[in-house]
Order: sequence, then C-alpha cells, then structure tokens
Amino acid sequence: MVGLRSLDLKSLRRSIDFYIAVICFGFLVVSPLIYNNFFYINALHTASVLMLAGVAWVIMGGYTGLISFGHAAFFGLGAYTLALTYNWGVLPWLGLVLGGCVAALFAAAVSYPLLRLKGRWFSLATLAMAEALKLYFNNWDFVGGSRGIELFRKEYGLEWIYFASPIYYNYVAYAVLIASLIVLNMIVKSRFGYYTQAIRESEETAMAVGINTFRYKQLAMVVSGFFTGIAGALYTIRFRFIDPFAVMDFAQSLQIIVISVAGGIFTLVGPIIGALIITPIAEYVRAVLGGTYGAKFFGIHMLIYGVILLALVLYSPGGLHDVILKLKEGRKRE
Amino acid sequence: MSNEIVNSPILRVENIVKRFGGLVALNNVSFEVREGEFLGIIGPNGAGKTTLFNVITGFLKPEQGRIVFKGVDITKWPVYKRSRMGIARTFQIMKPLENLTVMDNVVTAALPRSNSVREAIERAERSLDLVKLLNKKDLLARNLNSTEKRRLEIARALAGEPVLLLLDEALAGQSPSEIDETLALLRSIHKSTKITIIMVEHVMRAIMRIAERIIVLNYGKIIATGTPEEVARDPKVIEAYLGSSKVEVSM
Repeated sequence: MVGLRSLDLKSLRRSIDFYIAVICFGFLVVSPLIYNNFFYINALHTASVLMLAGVAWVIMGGYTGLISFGHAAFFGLGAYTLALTYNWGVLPWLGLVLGGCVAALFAAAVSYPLLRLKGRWFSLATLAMAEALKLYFNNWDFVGGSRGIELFRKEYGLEWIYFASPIYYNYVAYAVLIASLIVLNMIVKSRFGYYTQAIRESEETAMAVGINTFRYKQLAMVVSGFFTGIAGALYTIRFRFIDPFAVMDFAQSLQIIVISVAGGIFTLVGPIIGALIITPIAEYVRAVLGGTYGAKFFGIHMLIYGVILLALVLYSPGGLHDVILKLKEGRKRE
Repeated sequence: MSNEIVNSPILRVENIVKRFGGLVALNNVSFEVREGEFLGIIGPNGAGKTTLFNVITGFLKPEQGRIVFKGVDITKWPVYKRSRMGIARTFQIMKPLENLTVMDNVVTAALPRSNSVREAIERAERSLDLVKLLNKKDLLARNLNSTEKRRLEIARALAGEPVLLLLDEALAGQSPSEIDETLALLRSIHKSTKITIIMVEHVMRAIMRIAERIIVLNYGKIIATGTPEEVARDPKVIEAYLGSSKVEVSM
C-alpha cells in the first residue's frame, strides 16, 4: 500500500489536478444555467470568492508551512481599497488590482515582526494582527468607522461592474479566479514553489542548500496577501456594502481556512474542491435551519463545518483532494 | 602543518572558540584545507566535530576566530550565502524533505546555484545517477530506507556542484558492505569532480582508508594531525579513544 501510494504520485497528481479544476469550473459555469435560483447563484459567488482567498491562503499555509489565522486582514484591506477607490471614481478593474497591492504591501510590512515568530506563535500573532486591524478600522472615520462604506455609484455595465442580474457577478468572479489561478500555477511551478516547499519540510535543509528562507517566507506572505486582497475586492463589488465586522472578522479567516483544509492544502485545486462542496451546504443549512438569531437551530452551519472538518482531519488529512487521489488509485489497482 | 601545503588553502579555520554556556565546545581550533584535499576529522563523542561543521557552514556563530573561504572572511555570513558560494553539507541527523519526491529534493538543492529550473533538473539527474538513486526519483523521500536517505543527502549536497563538501557521519548506520559501496562512491566523486571533501566520521576503519589527512579532536581541541598511519600511532589519540596510554593498540 505504501509503495503503491508513492508510485508515480507526482505525475498522477499533476494530470488529476488539471481535470479536477476543469470539472469544478464547468460546474460553476453550467449549473446556474440549469438551476437558475437567486439563492443558489449567490452561494456559488460566495464560494468562488472563498476559492480565491483559499488558494492564496494555501500558498502560505500549504506550500510554505506558515499557518495564518489572520487572512481577514488582507481580505478586508482589499475590500476597503476597492470600496474607497470606487467611490473616488477609479474603475473597479483597477480597484481589484489596487486592493491586492494594498494587501500585499501590508503583508510585506507585517512580515518583519511576524516572521520572527515560529509555528503556533506565528499563527497566534496573525490572529492578533487581524483583530487589531479590524478594531482600528472600526474607529477610523476616514473609512466610515463602524458604519462601513457603501458603493454609491450606480452605473450599470461591465465597466463599473454593476449588474441587475446576479449571475454576471459570478462570471466576473470566475474570470478573476481563473486568471489568478493561471498566475499562481506559474508561480508554484517556478523556483518559488520549490523553495517554499523546502522551507515547509525543513528550514535547516533549505538554508543549507542556499535558500534565503526569510526572503522566501516574506515573498509567500506578499503573494498570499495580494490574492487574498483581490478576493476581498471581489466580495465588495458584489455586495456593495462593507463594514469591519463583515470583511475583517475572524469568522472570515476561519471560513478561508475551513474550505482550504477541507479541500486539501498541498495543492492549488484543494480550496476549489473545498469551497465548491462546503459553501453551498453551509449556506443552505444556514438559510433553512438556523440563519437568524433566535432561530431554532441558530448557528447550526458552524456545527456542520465542524463535523465535516473533524471527519476529514481524522480520515484524510490531505483533504478531499486526497480522497479523490485514493479513489483513483484504488480503481487503478483493480 | 604549513609545510604540507602544496595547493593554496581553500578553507582556513582560524582560532575558533565556541562555547555553550560553561562548556567550551571548540577551544582555539585552527587548521587549513587545501583545494582538492580529502580531509578526515575524527574524535570521541562530544569532541566538537559537528559543532565545527556548524561553525563552518554558519549554523552556529563562534565567539572568537575567523572562517576564511576562498580568501574571503565569511565568519559573519548567513548559512544560505555560504552555501551559494559553494559550501555544501550533509546532516548527521538526516533532514530530507520528506513529503517531496527524491527528484524534487535534489532539484531544490540544485536550484540556488542554477540559472533555471531546467538546468537544476539536469544537475539533479546527474547527481542522482552518481549515487545510484535515479531509479527511485519519483518516490517520496520519506519512503526511502535509511541507507538510501544517506545517499539522498549526498546527492543533495552534490547537486549544486559545490567547491567544498562537508560530510557529517555519512556512513552511520550502514552495514560493512554498504560502507564499502559508499566509500567507493565518495572516492570516485572526489576523483572525477576534484571537489574538496571534509568528512567527520565515527567509523575509524573506514575513514583511515579514504582520507589523505586526518585531524583528531578531543574536548574541543586538536590533539593530532597527520596521515592516517601517523595519527593511528599517536599515543595521545590512542589515549583519547581508549582512555589509557598503557593499552597496546594496533590499527
């Protein structure tokens, strides 16, 4: 079994990942055409925003071994940058990139103190960082404080990404997601991918072979921050209203981690699988059983998250991606 | 010692002192390594052999003294910079990148001294071929047995085509026939690549067969230097290993 599992795992995984991505995107694009339901389309949009943030999270958490509990900070910075620049009259297409840039700059700045810490201490510090930023924004008048920001420009069309029908937001999100995935795939196939994985496996070995481990951990944070920022901006352009507790809360970080871990953190398609399967379930359960405070099963979607995560961590630490690999290998053997 | 130097020294270790709290792990250690030399370092447990390697590669910073490599004072350099300059090492406690394939382990090691991923892959293939691991290149490193892992460490160290190779107990845990195989391999690498090798070893019999010159460390001090035959006859060395100079030993 062990021998078989390791047999040519890499080439198998390479081809499988590509097909998984194609199937997931096919589903994202085609299923709303068949099941044209407002609620369902929204759930898929939420899922695709989480996919992008998850893929970015995996660059740090999966490839480099830097587990972040504070991605809500990058997400929120992207969201706020888009909201502010949109209202100043900057096209949102540029706003998306600017959102990524602001988050990346922030990541670069906080990397200096954060990377002095290792392991769980690093993770806890990222959590503190995001919470501090959220509270700061909550009291900062320039960004609307606790009242948040609304996108006030109402000009329909692709230029300002403002649509009457929700499905178009999904297509915008898919396009941004695919473009980001292509870039990230190139990044992880390059020197960067080798170096970060070496750092995850053994920092001493990485140094010994000539890798500037600090510099590459920093780079991982910047890349991860950039794409998480874009995800935050995508969220804003759809919901058109944000406040610190909507985009910078720990719940946001947690969602990103949950879908990534569920799907598999050692591959870029992991969060795609995770978000596609978990988000619709969670959204459905929340809406039907316990969405609002005071409902009979308030918060039950969190319980579902918990059960799914527990099962996966116990039986398949590599997430659903690993389950798929095992199924495929099982079939090959017969 | 200086009259032995034919080629220019590639590495100069000057008056190195390294303390751990009250313990003096290296006490004023100085020596030179000629280009292309095969130097052995031996000594009983706790003599400071691995500490010396850690000081040369930069994992530890000495309290006193200098490390001069290729004429450059690298005493304050970080590990990765020394590695890029051509100092490679293996670890006594093996540290393979467990969840990466054998091939990716070696490609990663070749990359910092390569211009492209493609070039690194070619170097990695050559390096794996040299240690006869090419047929296992797609296995995950954690699925190798310990002898194969030792060879992977060597392949990884060679992948960047280093100038100086430090082997920290590369023979540990191998059977006599495997030791013979590894020694033959090291000899052929030394011959074909003209690389300078420093080898720390516990297996006396093995290092006596391969090293051109041997340094003996005891309690952080160099107690003897010379050819394997000279060192083996040295009463101080015999005492260090056996605890008494009265015991007759033939090597």
